[in-house]
Amino acid sequence: MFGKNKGLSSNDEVVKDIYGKYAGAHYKKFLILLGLLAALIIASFYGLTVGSYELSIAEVYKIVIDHITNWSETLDTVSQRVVWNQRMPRLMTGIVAGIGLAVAGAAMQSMMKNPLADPYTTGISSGASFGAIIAITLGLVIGSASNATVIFAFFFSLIPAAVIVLLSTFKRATSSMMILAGISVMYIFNAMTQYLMLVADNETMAAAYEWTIGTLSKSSWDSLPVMTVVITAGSLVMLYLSRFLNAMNSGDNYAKTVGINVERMRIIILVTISILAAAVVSFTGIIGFVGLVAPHITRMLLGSDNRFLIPGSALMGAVVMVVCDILAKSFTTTALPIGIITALVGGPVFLFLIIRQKKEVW
Amino acid sequence: MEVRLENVAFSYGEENIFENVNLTLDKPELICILGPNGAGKSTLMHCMNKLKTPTEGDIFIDGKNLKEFSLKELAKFVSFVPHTEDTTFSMSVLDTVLMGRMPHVGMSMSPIDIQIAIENIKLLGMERFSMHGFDELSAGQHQKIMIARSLTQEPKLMLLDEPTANLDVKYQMLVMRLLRDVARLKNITVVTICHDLNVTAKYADRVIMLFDHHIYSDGTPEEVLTKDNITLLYGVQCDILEMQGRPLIALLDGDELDSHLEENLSVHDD
Repeated sequence: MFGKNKGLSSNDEVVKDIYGKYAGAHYKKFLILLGLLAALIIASFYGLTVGSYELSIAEVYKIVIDHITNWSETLDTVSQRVVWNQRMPRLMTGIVAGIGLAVAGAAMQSMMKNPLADPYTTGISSGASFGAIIAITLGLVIGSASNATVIFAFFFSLIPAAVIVLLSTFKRATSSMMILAGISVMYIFNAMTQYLMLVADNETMAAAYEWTIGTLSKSSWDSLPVMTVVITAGSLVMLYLSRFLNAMNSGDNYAKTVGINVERMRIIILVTISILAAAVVSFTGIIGFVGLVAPHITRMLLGSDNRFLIPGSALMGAVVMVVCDILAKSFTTTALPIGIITALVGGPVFLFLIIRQKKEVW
Repeated sequence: MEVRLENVAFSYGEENIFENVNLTLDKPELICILGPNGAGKSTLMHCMNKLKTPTEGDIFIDGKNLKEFSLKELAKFVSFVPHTEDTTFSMSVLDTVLMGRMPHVGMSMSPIDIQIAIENIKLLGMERFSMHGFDELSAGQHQKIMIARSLTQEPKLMLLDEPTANLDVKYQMLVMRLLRDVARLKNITVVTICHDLNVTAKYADRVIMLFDHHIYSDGTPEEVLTKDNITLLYGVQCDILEMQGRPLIALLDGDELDSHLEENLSVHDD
């Protein structure tokens, strides 16, 4: 996009100077994105070597490289199965879930112009959660049990999204009203979820409970393709919509006067967020805090231009998830559910960043 | 470009805001809309850029009915500066101004788009703030940046909703003079809602007075800003002087204010 004044028709030195500074600021942002990508690669490289089954770094990567180069060979040893069938899908699921949650959170905050918005505070995750718990407790099967969980999670995630769309369309609701409505819906779904868990038998209740606190321990290669395709597609759609999100941040009236059909755009964005949140929640359960915090940390680094914030949040969400999973596996003999770690570690880290921030971000 | 309003009316249910509004805007000039609070000034402006739909009548842009324009098509001709800019997550000044290019571009901005934005920031004398955050600027600077963003849209009709509200006298004069100059320099019709009678008298080429649900007066500042009109519209006494060939309105603390205050104060006393 930028060269040294490439494409400029002006000979005005002031214009050239500002253009140069703008290009420089963009390059800096690209470098930060590359830095986040590097952090993700390093964290993932290390994350694969951490686990209760003791393996050296050399052993882990020998197994990975051997299996990639000899794809058709079966996994004979326990070490091979631990690395390839447990740690690899767990790592990949963490990365993809982090991307989905953070992109959904960043888009939600920008669209609602509210730093507290994320798929949880707007009830979308609670809706997905309730749908999934219905499928689990009733033992529903659509092709397979996991299909039923995903489909129900997605369907119920649309209910809070629809409430927000209806409020904004017919009541001209402010973003605070939408968040409050989302929180009300969240409480309703949470109450119904708790009721279902109360009346469920012990085994079902245990499965449902584990699912409500978010875990990567059930990750498998089977669920990964669907999750990856949905979250990649959803994130790309959101990246495409980033310039519309920028305009909507200046208010609905302004966005309309630069040609955006705000009502239709809000529905498209909310449905995409629902798909992203449902894709994560239905496979991993509720992993809190990532969708709220990762975009805010990214804002501190990259600013609030959604063209950079969306990809930056995606990478930051993935890094947060991989690092939290490393901590979950490192400090306890039985790996803690990642939902506990993201909140326990993310909370204090975020508080520290809020206190330390030099520039006003919000 | 010609904008023509024919028998335009707007009401909220039973509440009639204005009716039978007939206007033609076809010159590159600064037009100020005046009227007491609640007269429907913003609503009339919102009807011109499709933020609201008139309940009766039609608006034509170069002969084409406004109803036939998509929002994106309209945005290529008509730009809008809102009353205040409520940005929760602010971007840099240049990125904010670049949003004005949205109706003209696809996925990404070209160097020419960026050049247009920088030139408009420079036109407003804000070039040294280009890379600052929008939230780091003062209220007056915000207004200038929003005007630069509006110009970056390269409109033929520029609508501004009270651009001088919350500004001190110097900035009010600066913004109004700038709008008048921009109208001539860029060959666009600038329509702004204003409350300050003297700033309007000093800079407007044309004044439209909205009162009692219709256009009460429309003409040059000398024709519209008369003693009778101001007393009727605002219920205050005034004298009209002349300064540099333009009306100068001296507001007087008259009987109307006394009776208004007495009436309201006596209500509180009860």
